[in-house]
Amino acid sequence: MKRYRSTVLVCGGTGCVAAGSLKVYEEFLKEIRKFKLEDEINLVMTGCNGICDQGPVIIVYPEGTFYSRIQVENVARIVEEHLLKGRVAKEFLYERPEADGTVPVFNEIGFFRSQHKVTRKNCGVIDPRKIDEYIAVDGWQALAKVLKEMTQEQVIEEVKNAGLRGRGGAGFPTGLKWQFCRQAKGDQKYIMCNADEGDPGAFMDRSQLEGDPQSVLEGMAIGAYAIGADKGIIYVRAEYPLAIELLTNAIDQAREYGLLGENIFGTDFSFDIEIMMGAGAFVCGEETALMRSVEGKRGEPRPRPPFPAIAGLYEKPTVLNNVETLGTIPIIIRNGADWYSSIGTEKSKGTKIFSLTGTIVNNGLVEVDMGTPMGDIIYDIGGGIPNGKQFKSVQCGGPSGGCIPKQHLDTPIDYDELNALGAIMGSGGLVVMNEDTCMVDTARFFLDFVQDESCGKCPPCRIGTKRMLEILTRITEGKGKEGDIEELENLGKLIKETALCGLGQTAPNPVLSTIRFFRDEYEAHIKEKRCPAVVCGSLFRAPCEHTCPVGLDAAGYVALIGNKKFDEAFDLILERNPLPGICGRVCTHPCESKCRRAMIDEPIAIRTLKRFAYDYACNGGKRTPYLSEKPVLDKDPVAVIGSGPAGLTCAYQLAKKGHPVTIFEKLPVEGGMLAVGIPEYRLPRDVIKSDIDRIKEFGVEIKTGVEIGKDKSIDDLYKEGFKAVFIGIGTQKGWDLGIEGESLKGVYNGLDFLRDFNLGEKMDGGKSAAVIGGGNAAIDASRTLLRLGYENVYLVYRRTKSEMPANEEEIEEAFKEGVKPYFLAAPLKIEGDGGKVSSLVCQRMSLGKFDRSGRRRPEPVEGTEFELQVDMVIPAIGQEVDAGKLFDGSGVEVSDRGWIKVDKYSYATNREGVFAGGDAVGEEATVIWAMKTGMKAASEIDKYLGGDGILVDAVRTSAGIDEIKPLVGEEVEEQAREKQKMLALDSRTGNFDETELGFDVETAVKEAGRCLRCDFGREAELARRIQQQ
Amino acid sequence: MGKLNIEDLQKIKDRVQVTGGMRSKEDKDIKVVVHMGTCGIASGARKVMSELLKIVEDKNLDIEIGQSGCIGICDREPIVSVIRKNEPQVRYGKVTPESIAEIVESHVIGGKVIDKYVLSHLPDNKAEGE
Repeated sequence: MKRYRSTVLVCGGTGCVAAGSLKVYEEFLKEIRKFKLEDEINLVMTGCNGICDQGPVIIVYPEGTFYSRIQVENVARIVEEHLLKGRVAKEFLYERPEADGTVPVFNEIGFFRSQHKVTRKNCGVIDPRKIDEYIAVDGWQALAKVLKEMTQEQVIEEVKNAGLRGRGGAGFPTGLKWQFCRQAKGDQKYIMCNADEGDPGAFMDRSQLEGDPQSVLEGMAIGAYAIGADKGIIYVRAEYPLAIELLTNAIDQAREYGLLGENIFGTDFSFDIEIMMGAGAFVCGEETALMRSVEGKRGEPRPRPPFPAIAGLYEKPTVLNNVETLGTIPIIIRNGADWYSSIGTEKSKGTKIFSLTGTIVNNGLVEVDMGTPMGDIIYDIGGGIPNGKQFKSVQCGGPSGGCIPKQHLDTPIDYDELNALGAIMGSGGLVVMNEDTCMVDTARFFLDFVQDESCGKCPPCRIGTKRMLEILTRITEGKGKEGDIEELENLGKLIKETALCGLGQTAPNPVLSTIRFFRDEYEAHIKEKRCPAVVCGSLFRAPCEHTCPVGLDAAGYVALIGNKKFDEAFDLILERNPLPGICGRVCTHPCESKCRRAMIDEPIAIRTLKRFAYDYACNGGKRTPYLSEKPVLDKDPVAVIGSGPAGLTCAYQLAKKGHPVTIFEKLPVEGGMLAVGIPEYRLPRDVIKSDIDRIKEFGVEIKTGVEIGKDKSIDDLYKEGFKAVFIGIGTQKGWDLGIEGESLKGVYNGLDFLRDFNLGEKMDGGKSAAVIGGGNAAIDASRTLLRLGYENVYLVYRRTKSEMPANEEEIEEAFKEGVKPYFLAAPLKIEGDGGKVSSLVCQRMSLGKFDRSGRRRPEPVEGTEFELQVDMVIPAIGQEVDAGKLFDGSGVEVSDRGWIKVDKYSYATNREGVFAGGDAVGEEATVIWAMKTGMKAASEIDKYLGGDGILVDAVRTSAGIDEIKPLVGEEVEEQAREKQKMLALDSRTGNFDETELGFDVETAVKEAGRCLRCDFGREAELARRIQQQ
Repeated sequence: MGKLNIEDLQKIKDRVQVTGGMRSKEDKDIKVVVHMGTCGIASGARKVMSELLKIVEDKNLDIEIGQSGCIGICDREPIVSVIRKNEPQVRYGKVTPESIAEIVESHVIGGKVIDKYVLSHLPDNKAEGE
């Protein structure tokens, strides 16, 4: 049979043929002949690959490289790059729609692909019960080499030169330890193996003992020869029965072969090993405590020095090495120090085994080169975070280690780099945590563990960790107070400095490192009694309510809707949220992200239920305004600048407290970005009007066409009699791309485009447009263009789909409607013809290292430029505050980046009486977050003006919710989330009709019935606790 | 064999065939390896092994059965490797007594890999890292 170097498969399925694969096949034939590769390359036309929308599909074996959407003009490059030069032509690789860029290899999973198995090479390959198999993979050759060819000094030199550092966690150079012991005086010396693996979530040692026990025995024998010991002891936990069984068997077989015992290989070297079982006390992993335990004494550490290398077991010179360290020794001896030290970083050599656990796709054991970035382990090997959740942090080094947050994902695996972050290499436990993990609770968990395992010998560890645990527990129960964080830091530092052994010295690490990277989360617990990850159950009634920035009682109104009390539901919403029609349509619904129902099937459609309550009350049903009487406006008047969601919410809540409020709006329309940013197909104008009208009914006045800073100043407002000011001016200026050709006619910034169009400007109907960016503004502009009749709307985004910041639903709809995405592409320049845009030149990107946002940074790929023929280019890559002269001489401080500086809890600016919120303060740029800032500021303004600042009672005033029993029984059956009706795709062009159509009564009641009612029965308890606080 | 001298190591090496690989001529053409670390056993590798032994006995198959340790991807256990001479080694994940029967029928006897159960194909008969 003729053999080829490479095989190129061209898909000849119907889908690919329709996309032009026959021509591509011809072209390949032509190119292959051109380079005279016919004898090396086998070109085959195959049947359908099944991934027809990516056609024409090309697969190149033996690598399994998968190219998609290959056109005739791409073939020459693939042949030249891949077949001739052997380099994958990256720009044509298939992009997985669900994630992470490109997948160059087929039929192989990343989990194995990115590992480098050195110590674990035999695990899963040989039969651990058969010594012959270990010998068949060069086992015991290293001992033979040592005994035959090497002096004791040479062995130690070799291990030193290899740069091997202790894999138990502390990273002490193994060769040096051996040298100290060798030099120590003593008639009897010992070598010991520490298999007392106790970190929660770590099991690499167990696996090594079970998978390749002989390697550890051989490593011990080599060490024994080097230091001059004749006895070895393996200290292993009794809770590892299989490991003990296999080790015992391995020792028996080695003895039978004379590899342990007297005169090994006929030399005068004699050595034997026995197993000691530990009872599972964590502190016995500490070397001096371990030795005490072996001696039959209580497992307590003692002060060092003397170090065990001088006076260890029975006060004799002793080397204690970890399982992984010992298992690596034979490989170093066989392959040489040079080989081993060529792997890894400058100060951390070789490979390291990690046990990867937590919220990650691939749980298990992984071995990687030192220097591998943490992010590669989590994403390439671990497969990332399941269920579309966000990565939050990884706990490295177990209870002695620290957490590494997403901004440090690029940190290489290296003893010193990890130490610098307050984590440690430790034994190699990696616990991955997603956004649903509370860092305070995590710190409490680890501290609870070490506190429990503390032997009690030294007071810092015995009492100090107890005190720290008490403080942490208090914080998670909502009883934290000012100064707690500092107290934890002080105690932590003290314990680190004064505890007797490693257990105590590292015990505060999880607390200190979570404070270091997640201080805001501690503060949220203490100052706001809020658990951002919605874990600490004492702090909330229901997760949805706790997650909602304005604290809307979602469980309450869902319960009311489920019981057909629609008007009551609407009233309940209005207590906190004055914009239910708007939020019911465009809210990013953080509430749904923590809905407990998602653990069974899917979250409750909370947003659409809110919309239903609005639709029912304001359209179909009779309208029931909240508060039967209008508030009496007899308090101090307040001015609000900007009529967006922040300003409207602030004004509404202030009016409820009796303050007359006037809103000044620069634009001729009310609503800010709601009216001029969000397109009408998402948010009909009559909905905005009805929500705002309800606010005006309370006596809030809105003056449009008045620009503060131009028509009048903040000081003028005070002169007019206003006693306080709230600024909610948003971010109205879009960023430029900063590339050539941006001044050409036809380049229209996304924000300007949406605003001008929404204010009634005619947009000349072109044919093709490119929108640049991945946020909501980019999606809004794209879908608007389609409705205006543009035939080709390209969305150019430099990262991948999964990293787009826009709402997922919006992205899906945009692609369904026909927006054509170009992921991993960035604009290079805009070409013009007669002063008008003629095309956009882009460049392909590939994902490189992890950046501060925890995402892979897009990096340009040379030679991959491509051109899009367009007559319009819309940059929508970000926006900033456009304050005009508002702050000139106002005394309000602004940051370098233009954000208004505010206190993050009160939203007070540095000028007394002036508050600010919304997008302009540089926090989360969503409607609901803007409303939160407005609401919080309203409370603070009321307090500032002498009120009590209480906007809504924390205890439910709406009668009857607690009497409503959950509709879901004890046994929950899976029931899919109801989907709202959508406007048919072919009815969406040429008009701006609303695309989402909401729920009818029957659907809404059915959907509300899925709620598990996390809030049920918690009201009384919560009320009691609030009273106590 | 009694006490070894250094030369004996090479003799054993020449004679012995590693469970998770295919090398010498005397090997059976087909090998099935059940990975039986603690994680594998906890997820049911013993049941898979006994079912496999039963099937092999019932059908009187001339294949070799071996066991090995954990390959690291513990949450896909029980894992079974099927090694056919001159073919890429195939690893199956989350194997059950039911699916091992299918795997034997289709892959071991019929030579047809069951894609839906496949965890990974190894490019050749070597272990990773070599």
